[in-house]
Amino acid sequence: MPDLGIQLRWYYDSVVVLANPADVIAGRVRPPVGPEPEAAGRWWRRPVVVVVAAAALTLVLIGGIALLSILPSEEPAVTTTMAPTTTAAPPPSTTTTLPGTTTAISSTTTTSVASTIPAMPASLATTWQRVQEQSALENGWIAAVTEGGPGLVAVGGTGRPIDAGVWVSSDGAAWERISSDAFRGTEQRDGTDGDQQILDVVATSSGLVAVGVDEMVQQEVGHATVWLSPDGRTWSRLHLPHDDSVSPSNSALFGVVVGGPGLVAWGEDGNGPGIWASTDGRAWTLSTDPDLAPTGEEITLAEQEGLCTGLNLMDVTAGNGLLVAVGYRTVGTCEGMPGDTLGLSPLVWVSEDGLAWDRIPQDAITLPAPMPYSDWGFVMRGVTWTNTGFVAVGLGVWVSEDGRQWEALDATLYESTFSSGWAIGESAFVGDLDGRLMAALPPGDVLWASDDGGVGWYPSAEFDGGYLEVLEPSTPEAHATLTEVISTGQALVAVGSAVQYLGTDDPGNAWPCNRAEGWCRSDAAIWIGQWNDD
Amino acid sequence: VTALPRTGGPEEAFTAFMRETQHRVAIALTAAFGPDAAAEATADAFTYAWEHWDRVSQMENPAGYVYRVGRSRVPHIRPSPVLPPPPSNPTPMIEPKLLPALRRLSPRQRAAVVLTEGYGHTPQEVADLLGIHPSSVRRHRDRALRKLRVRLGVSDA
Repeated sequence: MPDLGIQLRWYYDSVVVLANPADVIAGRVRPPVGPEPEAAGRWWRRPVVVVVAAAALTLVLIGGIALLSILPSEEPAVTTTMAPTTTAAPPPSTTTTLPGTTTAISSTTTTSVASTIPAMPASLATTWQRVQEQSALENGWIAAVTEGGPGLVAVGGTGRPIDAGVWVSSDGAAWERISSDAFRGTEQRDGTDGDQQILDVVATSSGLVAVGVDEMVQQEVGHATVWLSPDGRTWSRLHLPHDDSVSPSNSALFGVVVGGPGLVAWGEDGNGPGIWASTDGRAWTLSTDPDLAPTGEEITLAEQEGLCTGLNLMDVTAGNGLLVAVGYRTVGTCEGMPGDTLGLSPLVWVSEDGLAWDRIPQDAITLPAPMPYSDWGFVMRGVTWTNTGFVAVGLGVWVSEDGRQWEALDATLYESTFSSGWAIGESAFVGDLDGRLMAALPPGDVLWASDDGGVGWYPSAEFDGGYLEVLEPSTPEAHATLTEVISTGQALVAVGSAVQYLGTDDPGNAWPCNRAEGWCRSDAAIWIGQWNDD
Repeated sequence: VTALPRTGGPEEAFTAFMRETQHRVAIALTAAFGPDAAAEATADAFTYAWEHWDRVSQMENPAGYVYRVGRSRVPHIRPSPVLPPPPSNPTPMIEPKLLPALRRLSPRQRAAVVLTEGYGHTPQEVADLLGIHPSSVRRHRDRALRKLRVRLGVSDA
């Protein structure tokens, strides 16, 4: 039998299909396809897809570094109430090793991704260390993190069926998973629990406010849900009001920001954007502003073509006394099946109180030059405030000083950077951290940074490979997904999940991998980052 | 990194570029996603490259760019067998266990091992194409070889 290389060449030479360059030039091969349409099915499950999607940001590296120095020196009042954890936290004596360690591993975290991408300035690189794996983080995923409670509070989901997940830490290294009846799903018609997940959390002067969805899968019903806690340890839950006339009990919350009257939570209600406002986190009012729905003209024009149109709200931020929401409008066949989206256009709304929203006219949003995947249009997937203006990312990067006039930046500077930006239906992370922008667009595999307001981007960390090379060389495959990054002022804290391939035998408490065979498990994951020029 | 011809018209330059790089891109996509999906994705990607040739031709690594475009097309293409049986005529001498063993590899492992072991590309060349670090290519290749050795029951795979 010939050697392996020859056999591989024989096989692939026999099946590979090549196109004739003349046919390509003459347009005789199939035309490019458009971006992936919004996934069909239970729409409020999309964040789960985001979290457990396999491809993505595999940062990471050596666990077990103590991270006590990442938090402000002022001890929160409730710190002393935190029970000792039995997890394998690294010894405090290693606290001082963080700067040196990050320097030592920088070369494994900053490899370039494609030569068309601007080179990363070495002085601006970030390095990351994954917090040591521990039992409290097993079988879960983290959607968001904030400073609060005993130090840090992370939220997400755990297990199957999905329970809401909350983790707290006083030092960033040792994490405790909080148990509460408020985290169990609502009982379904057969007596089993439905699914719950928390997708965002903010800290306020009176405590923590978390938002997500409580879903009864069997009834195909979802409730926009808020969880409240004074300290990160004790939690209560309430369902938000929804518009029964549109779609009974089909609502979900994807995010919450401090702004407007106090708090603004956003997600979907029925089949379109849903935004709720509150002064205290307990009483919420659903916005009924007609600007959150397609206009009559848009509906009519679509119907004339036998099509339907819809609005998608992807992110909300607050800055300069204004709330800014971004998303996109779709035009496609009314069945909403994959492949049927025919047109996309970016959307921006602004509001001062969270209830009255103005949709920015389309001509106030310039579009980038055509780029890969833009055949069907452009989308905005994330927005942030940078103290000098707003920045939105998606398939394109836009800036605005006032939230009402948006300028698309030169696409040649970032079209490779955000090549996954076409993937509509998933929110992107974008944030201003220590004066620099950072962004991650699922299912991309790079955490991007910009130090010029979004004009030029460079890969701050490549997430492919480091985890396996350094930590678990025996693990066949692993992926990590990044969902949010915050700055404590002393360090960056990234959260998400790490997916491990467990083999071909079902170990229980796992799900089929997104591959031909095998089972995977997701663990909640935290990484600590440092700017190398600090 | 492919050096593009700097003389002649755009059609000539694109044709030279495609002849130089298409096989590599197609093999990488085929190894990862199967011949049917790869054929469509490769054609789409080079079509896109031609439509934007003014810009693509100025890129430092146009082959890697085209691969990324092709890879992005795959999710839109209908599922197809990743490892269909080879054509029966002519019948190459392929170990019957090879295809089941390849099926156990991740797409990136398959691409790495096929391009390096099957076609003799260096890890740096494969890294340029796939947009990953050469050490990642070596790691994926080594893992693939270890798995293949076990599945094929040989020690010198």
